Amino acid sequence: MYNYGNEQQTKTTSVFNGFHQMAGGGDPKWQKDATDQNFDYMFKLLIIGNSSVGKTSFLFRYADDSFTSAFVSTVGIDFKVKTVFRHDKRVKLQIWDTAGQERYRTITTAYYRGAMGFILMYDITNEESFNSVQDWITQIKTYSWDNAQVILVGNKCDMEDERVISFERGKQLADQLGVEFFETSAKENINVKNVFERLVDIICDKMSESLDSDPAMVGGAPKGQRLTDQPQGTPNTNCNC
Amino acid sequence: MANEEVFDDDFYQEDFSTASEFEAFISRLGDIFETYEVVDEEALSSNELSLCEWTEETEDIMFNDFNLSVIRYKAKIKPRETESSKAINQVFQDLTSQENDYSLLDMNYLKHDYEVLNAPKSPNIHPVAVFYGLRDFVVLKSKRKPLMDISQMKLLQSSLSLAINESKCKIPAFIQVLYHEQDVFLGIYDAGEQRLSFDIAHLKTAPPSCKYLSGLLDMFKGKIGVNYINPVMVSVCLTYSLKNFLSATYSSDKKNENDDWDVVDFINVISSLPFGVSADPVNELILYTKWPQVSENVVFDSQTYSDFNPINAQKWSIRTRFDYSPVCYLADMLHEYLTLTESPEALSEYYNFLSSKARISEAQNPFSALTDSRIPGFSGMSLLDGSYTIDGPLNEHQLGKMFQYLLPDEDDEKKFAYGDLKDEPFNPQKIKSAIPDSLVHRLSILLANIYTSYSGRRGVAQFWAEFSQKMRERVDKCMRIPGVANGFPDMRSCLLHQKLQMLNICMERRNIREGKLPFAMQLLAQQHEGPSSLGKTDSDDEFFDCDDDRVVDEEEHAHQSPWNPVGRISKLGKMLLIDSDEPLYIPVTQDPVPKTEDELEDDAEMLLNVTDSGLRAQLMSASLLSDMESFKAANPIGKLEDFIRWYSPRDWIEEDTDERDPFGRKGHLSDRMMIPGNTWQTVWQTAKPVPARRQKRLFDDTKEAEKVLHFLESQTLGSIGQLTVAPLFHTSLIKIQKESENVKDFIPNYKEMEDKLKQNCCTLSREKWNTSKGMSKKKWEMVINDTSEMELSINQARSILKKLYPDKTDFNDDDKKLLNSLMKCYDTELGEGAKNDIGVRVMYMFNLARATQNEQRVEDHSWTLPDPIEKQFTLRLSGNTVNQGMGGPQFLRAILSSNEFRLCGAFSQNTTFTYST
Repeated sequence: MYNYGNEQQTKTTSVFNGFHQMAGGGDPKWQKDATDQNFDYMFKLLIIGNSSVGKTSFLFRYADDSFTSAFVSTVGIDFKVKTVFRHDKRVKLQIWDTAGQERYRTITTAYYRGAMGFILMYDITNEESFNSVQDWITQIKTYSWDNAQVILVGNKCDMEDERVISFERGKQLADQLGVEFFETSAKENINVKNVFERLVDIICDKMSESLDSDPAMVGGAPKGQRLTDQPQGTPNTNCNC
Repeated sequence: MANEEVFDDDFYQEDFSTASEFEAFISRLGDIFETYEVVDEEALSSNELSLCEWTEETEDIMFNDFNLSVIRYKAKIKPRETESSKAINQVFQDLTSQENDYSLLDMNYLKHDYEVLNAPKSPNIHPVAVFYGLRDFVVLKSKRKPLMDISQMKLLQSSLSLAINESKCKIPAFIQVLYHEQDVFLGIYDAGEQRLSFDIAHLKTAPPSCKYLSGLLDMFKGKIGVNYINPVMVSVCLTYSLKNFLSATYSSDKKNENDDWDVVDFINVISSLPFGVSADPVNELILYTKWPQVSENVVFDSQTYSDFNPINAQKWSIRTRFDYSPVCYLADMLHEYLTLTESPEALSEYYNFLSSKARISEAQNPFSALTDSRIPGFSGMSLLDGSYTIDGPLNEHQLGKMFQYLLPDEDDEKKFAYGDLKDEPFNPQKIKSAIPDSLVHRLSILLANIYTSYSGRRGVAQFWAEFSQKMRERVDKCMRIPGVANGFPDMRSCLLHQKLQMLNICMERRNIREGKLPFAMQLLAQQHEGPSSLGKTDSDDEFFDCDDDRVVDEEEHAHQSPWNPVGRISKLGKMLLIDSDEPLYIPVTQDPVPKTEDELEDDAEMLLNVTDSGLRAQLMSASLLSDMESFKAANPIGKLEDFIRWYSPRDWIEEDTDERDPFGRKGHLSDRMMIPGNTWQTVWQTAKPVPARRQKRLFDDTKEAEKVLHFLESQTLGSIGQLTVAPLFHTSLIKIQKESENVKDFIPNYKEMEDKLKQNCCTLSREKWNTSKGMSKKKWEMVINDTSEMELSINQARSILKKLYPDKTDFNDDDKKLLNSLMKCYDTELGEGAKNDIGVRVMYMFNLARATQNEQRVEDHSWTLPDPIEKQFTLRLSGNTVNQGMGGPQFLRAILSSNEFRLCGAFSQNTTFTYST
């Protein structure tokens, strides 16, 4: 269970064969990956939730398999990129990590558009962060496209002594919202990878569903999902000399 | 051992059983027949063969030099809920039943191949099923050249007969002969004692003896040669056609293509989308008068006298025939407008002042925009002086009218004022365009009208140039753009709408910066004072525009009195600053920075290209710095801890001791805030106490407004088209919804069509325009097919209403059922025959048409119908014969029309030659 970021052990999950570990933050290697066009799909994911529920730790655990008790509180928005394999397709995940402070709402909600999946996180030791889940859902509904998939995550489940939100309450809320639910611990590396894998899976399902429903209308869709594609037809504001 | 095997092979290769090609063919055919499973089913219900699905099984077979297909046609009959007795012989039963005598579908009409869009597909019911009412049969059909030679037909017929005998084939088998489109079939069915032979005669004109029932009866009886106890049962159908609808002809409002636009109500035409069809989509109304089952001895029909007076017919039914070729105006316009999206010409090719160098450098260099924008003589200003001209095909009067509609607040009458622009509640199928009837929608309607029915590309260029200058003018005068949603650029709306929202925000920010009232309050003030000089440029304002000086001024100010708090909003609860008894004040902060989606994409792109996450944090920290400076200005002795208590309360850990400080002062920063050298600390250290209004603006409204104006001016004609395609389709959808209100209840599959259109518009509106291989254009063109289908259906429905319900507006369920059936071109029965209201109306139309043709007045009492276009007689005999026991069914159908005569016979013969006594 623990330390399954290790290459050999990832083989246990059939879907994610050949899982690639990305090097840490400053390493030029992953930087190269940020502009790498060699992938079949690109999913833009967002991690949202109140301040200090552990969004950044969660992302670092997933992307770098590292944990520090204190990450610098995210200013505005940041991201990490990770490429995974699903059904022999390279899926590039562009995961945006957001600041939870109220003051950053306008900046972060602007990034909701085009996000295909959300990880909505609360802290099981913090009642307020749980109470805000409904607000965050409203934000998603307001600012994202309708087909965005959401997973509710109760983080810090290693801190059993300080728990104030029971698993049942989380599960109940998730059912009510019609989303999937996980309790996780970035510190103990519990369910972190599962959350991402599940999210990628439901996005893929949703995508093939819409491809099935009207193939003519989506012709050539996958590549069109790339955020990095140069906007075509949208006039360039700066040059026309 | 090996030798023996070779011997075996040789032995089997020499197949003595199928010596000739003829025998091989029969054997192969028999093999195919043997694979057919035949299940006895229930009796057919009325029109079941027309409504059910059909399956086809095809096998290929060679006969001489003919490539034949052996196709089995079988109706998928749904099992009945209530068990009823099964027939002794299904074929006999079907042949004697009159439930499927007349096809619900318009066979005469549908069997042609239509190339026209929206035309219905050919039905899959086979002519044999229509002629004989059979549900299960097999047809041998030559693949290419028709079977014309009599001797070959005979040969094939006898082989078929042999194959049927050998394989005990339980279903009738037919050979298609002569030209395929003649639908002539010869068939055999073997049912033990009885043998049925099917025969079709197809002629151009009917022999005189076959024109009336009396002659047909004679022929029928002569052919049978056996006397039955029962009389012949006759089913008659007389068909009448009405093509001249006179005042009931449906026409759409004219498109005004050639009209002088100044004569017609110009603004009404240019501000609405066309809708309608170029010709009446209902081009024929068919009336059937039927006598479903009468005995031969109660009716008489000959050249001199006939009992078949249509007025007295037992059943009346009608059918519509549609013309699928009319042009649908709305779809046609959309189609034409899409061609605009491929125009490469830049606006500046028409109006080169838009590409003046000054303008471009200004857009690229924000500082020049800041410093120069108010200097008179600059190109932007000179435009306002009226010294510019935007020549084009649209005259001043027309432009004036259009802008009255687009920017109604500039017009004194305010005839076209925008309503309350409330966004619809959450809608997952939201089309990325703008709020209905908002400026962007009106703009796209105007552009589409200008482009498609007035002045083409030049007109679009002129109008857009004029529009972008209007926008520039309004920005200069700080006049809010009407018909645009409030607030930050809404990413769920189209880019053009976001850009206009951005302009409004820029002006709003400038207003506030210059100490004027925000727009919302201006409006209130205006209402109190009446029209005032609001919006006129105040020359005094210009002094407040220089930022650099103010920063210096502020620094001096800060130095002079570092402890003077400035820019406070209110106290934060009961909180006191740490190590002091001063209250903690919430500072006035700079407003968040609005962005349009293209700018956000650029931002995201930039972030993605920054390697170092520390650097990214630094990039993101501009607003943090601004907030910290504001905080310091409002709380001169405040510390980072105090800032965090306000800004990120979760990072302030209150000490959980017995004596809790009621003012929240006891505690410490969270671990992450104490990481040495973290962004929060470093920014705090560099932050100076500067109130928000004196800080460097995070959002430079002047520059942003100029960016938007440049965006508008630097479009190509193609990109103007692309920007407005989604709103135009959105307004078209709304138009269709509005137009369909009275008729959607009985348009078949209306809901499905509408949902599909909505969904496709929604999907495409969110996609980026893709010019390669005209990808996006092609996708939108597919949406036009949906649009034209709906437009045509709505007009078909209206045309039917005009003809059958000229004065009625609300319809009961029976009416709706009838209309729905007519929309499907079904043979639709009218209750009570000629006495039915619709029947009376149809009769009236027939008589009106005849009277007009003969230049007579319509007489109330002399209502008659014209000559039928088709007569159909179906003669049936079954039951016991006079002296040969139980007889097989005998069947003859005669179809007489002006250019075609067809006899379909099915005669049974007793094959055992046993005579019962």
